[in-house]
Amino acid sequence: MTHHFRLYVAGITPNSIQAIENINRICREHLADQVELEVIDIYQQPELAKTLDLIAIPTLVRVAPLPEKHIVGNLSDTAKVLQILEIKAGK
Amino acid sequence: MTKELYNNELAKAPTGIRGFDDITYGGLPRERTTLVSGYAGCGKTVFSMYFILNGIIEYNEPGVFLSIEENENDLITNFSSFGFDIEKLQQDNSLILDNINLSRPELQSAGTFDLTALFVRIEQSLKKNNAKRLVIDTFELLFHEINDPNVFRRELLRLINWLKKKKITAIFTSEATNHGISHYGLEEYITDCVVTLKNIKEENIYTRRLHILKYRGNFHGTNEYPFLIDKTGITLMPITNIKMPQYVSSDVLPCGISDLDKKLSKKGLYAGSSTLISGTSGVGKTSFGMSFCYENLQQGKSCLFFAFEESAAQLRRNMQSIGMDLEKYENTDQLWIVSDRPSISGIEMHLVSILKKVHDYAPDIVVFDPVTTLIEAGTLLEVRNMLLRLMDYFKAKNITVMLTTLISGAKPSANELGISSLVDNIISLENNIDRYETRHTLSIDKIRGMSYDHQVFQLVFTNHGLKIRLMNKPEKS
Repeated sequence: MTHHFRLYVAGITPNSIQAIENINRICREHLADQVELEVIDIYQQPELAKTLDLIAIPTLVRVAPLPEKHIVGNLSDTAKVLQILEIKAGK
Repeated sequence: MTKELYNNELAKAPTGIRGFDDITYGGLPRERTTLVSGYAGCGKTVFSMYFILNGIIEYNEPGVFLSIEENENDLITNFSSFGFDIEKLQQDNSLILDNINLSRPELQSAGTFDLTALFVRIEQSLKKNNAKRLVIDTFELLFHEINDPNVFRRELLRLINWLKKKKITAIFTSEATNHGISHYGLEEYITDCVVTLKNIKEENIYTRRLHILKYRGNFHGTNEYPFLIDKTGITLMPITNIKMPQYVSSDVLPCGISDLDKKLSKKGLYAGSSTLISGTSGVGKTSFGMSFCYENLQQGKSCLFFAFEESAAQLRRNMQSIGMDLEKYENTDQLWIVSDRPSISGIEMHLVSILKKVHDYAPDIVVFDPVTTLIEAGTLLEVRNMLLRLMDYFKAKNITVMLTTLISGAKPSANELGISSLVDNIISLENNIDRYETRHTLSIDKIRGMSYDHQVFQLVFTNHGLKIRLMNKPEKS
């Protein structure tokens, strides 16, 4: 099963950097290689804030598998992320 | 000292809402955020909407209206119902409507975050038309979405400061609860200005009221002010805040009975003064009030006549019998007869609607016939307060006013409303039964600022209007 994530960040802030590191780590540790991750800087594409009704940053959107999930925060709470994504810990 | 005070006065962004800019001495704090709070249906959205639309139309300040509840089409429908051409304002880019749709998957948090995406979105909108004004309605709904009080409060403060730097004058709205004026204590963070709106039910009549809870660094009216929302928008009548006029007129207006003018040392009534015509039923109070209008209409003045007991048609017919052609002046829009019963609405609403008419029509003269009918609409104390506010308002606007008052007892000097001290002039009319005929008499009880004849006169109705004669020398008519 392929996971597809979009991570919305705003420039290079500590939260953004941590979120990128955390999602990469979570994918590496818990999802093997079946992952597609796009990191999108809303400063570069500000119209996305409106189109996607984004409010919080960072926001991680799981595009696939459905249902779509939205997680806000720097993803430092690994257990919470796994719980929301319904992923069992470990490979 | 005084000059310094003025220089340091806060800059204001006028709302263009009638009355509101008076009680705040200019409007909302410019380049600051104001919280407008109220229960559902209290007029928060309408208030905010007018702030934006008046800003565009009257003050040339583009605006952004960001709704968290309603979609763009609903907003357009709502705004258009007040007679604005919203699509035109959108086309010329002076108005930007935006809405955040919160009906997407629920947000869950895992780690720290901020609301930068919201900032980015707002900035996008503000940039599009170089907006000076912003509304976020209902701001608080964003909190439901975030569901983290600490983040919300931190980001709220950041947003307020950010908007200040961008020189944006903003309104955030919140829903009042039984415990306070917002669910999450927004009022503790939005510190520059807080306005609350209420819809109070008293004796089965709803009255909308506005209260300025705080306004940092600014004097403001502290009362709850009744306001009205109708097709022409919001009207607030802050009469208690009207400053005493700097300028007092020494012009005089004819009182309506030319012989009586001669009995006054200045040959008429002062412009901007108030005159009470008191008397029992059928002594000619209405005729006097209308004669006053008529004399002045002939001199090019405009008159607003509130007839609380008669229809305009009835007045036209009756006045014709004493030589007045009212229709002539109604047709040229110099005379407006408003005929309605005060009991239809509550006293506050009645006051607001009266003042709105006076404000819109801007007459030189206003007549209330009879002012005693207003008692039907409220308690004696309420009516007295209302009249006090009315008199202040008229004085400030240099409008000359005549009130007739119905005396039920035989002695006309008594004054049921206790308003004799509020008015400048009092003229009493009386019925005197003198052997075989009833004679109408007229006497001047008080005229502020001039001397007058203290005799009792006979009041005679002729087909050329009202006349007075000396009592002991009756002439043949």
